Amino acid sequence: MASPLSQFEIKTIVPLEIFGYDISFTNSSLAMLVTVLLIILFLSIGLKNSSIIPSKGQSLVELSYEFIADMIGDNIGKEGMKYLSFIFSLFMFILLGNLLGMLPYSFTWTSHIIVTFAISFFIFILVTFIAIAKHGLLKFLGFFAPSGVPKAMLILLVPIEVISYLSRPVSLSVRLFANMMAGHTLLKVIGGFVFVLGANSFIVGGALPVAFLVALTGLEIVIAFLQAYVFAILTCLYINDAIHLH
Amino acid sequence: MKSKELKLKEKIKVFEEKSNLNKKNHSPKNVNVGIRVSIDLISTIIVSILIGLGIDKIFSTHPIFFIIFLLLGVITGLYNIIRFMNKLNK
Repeated sequence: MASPLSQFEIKTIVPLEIFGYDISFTNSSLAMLVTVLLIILFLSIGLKNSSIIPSKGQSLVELSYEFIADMIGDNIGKEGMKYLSFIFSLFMFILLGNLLGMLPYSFTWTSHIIVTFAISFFIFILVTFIAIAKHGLLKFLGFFAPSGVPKAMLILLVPIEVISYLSRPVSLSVRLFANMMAGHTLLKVIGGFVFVLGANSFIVGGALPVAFLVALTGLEIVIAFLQAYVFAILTCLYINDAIHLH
Repeated sequence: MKSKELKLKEKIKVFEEKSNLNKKNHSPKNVNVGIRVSIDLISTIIVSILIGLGIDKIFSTHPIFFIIFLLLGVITGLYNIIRFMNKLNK
């Protein structure tokens, strides 16, 4: 029987190498490509015959747009609306990537730490860049020294603020990666129980783990939505911090 | 006529409060708090340990900065949890 972790294996589809770097087209890249195509398909079909009274597809697209617009309005305010396209595409990319992983025989690219870390590190650099461009370097460094604190406390508080700022991309990426990987491993482990119990016990058989598996699949779909939501909302909060340095 | 209108307004207010209450309980913000807080704690400690080990490697002072930054990471993680929970309870 295959190991529960073999689902995360990267397999090369088209081997490529440039300047000694391995940039092969793998099953992970294929899954990302399918995700992007699905988003384009979803948006273009939904907005094909757009009218004032929306069709089913159009209202789905509008719903997702308003969801992100409301999120930005709540967390950043009006100045945040120019980041709408970025956060919308981020949310859709992660959400569809998570949901694509729920299909049997597909690949969950969000379950790889390097992918989520690359996304969150890009967000980290973007947020730092926004803050410096908007407020200047000096004011940005002042972000690490909270005002209204006695000077003696600053020796402790400045390192605390710096470390919590630097740990943002790590916690952002680990949260998504850990949730997706743990959930999919659990699904495979319980799936293994179905086989073993079905072969060895004749009364209950694999029925019990199958029922458990059904419930877990529902939970996994909820987690797919929730993690995409959390990723988007934390990006909003970080951009908010960068725009209104307090 | 006016008392009827007032009654209706009161009813609307009660209904709105109720629906707001429901919204608050079911908002996805509160579902994930446990995982969010624990991963925040772990990641701050990991990042600070890595910083400490990096400084140790540059100045070859092996255990000193590792220990200092380990303690700082634990303090930071707990401080962030307290700050986050205070914000949540507001």
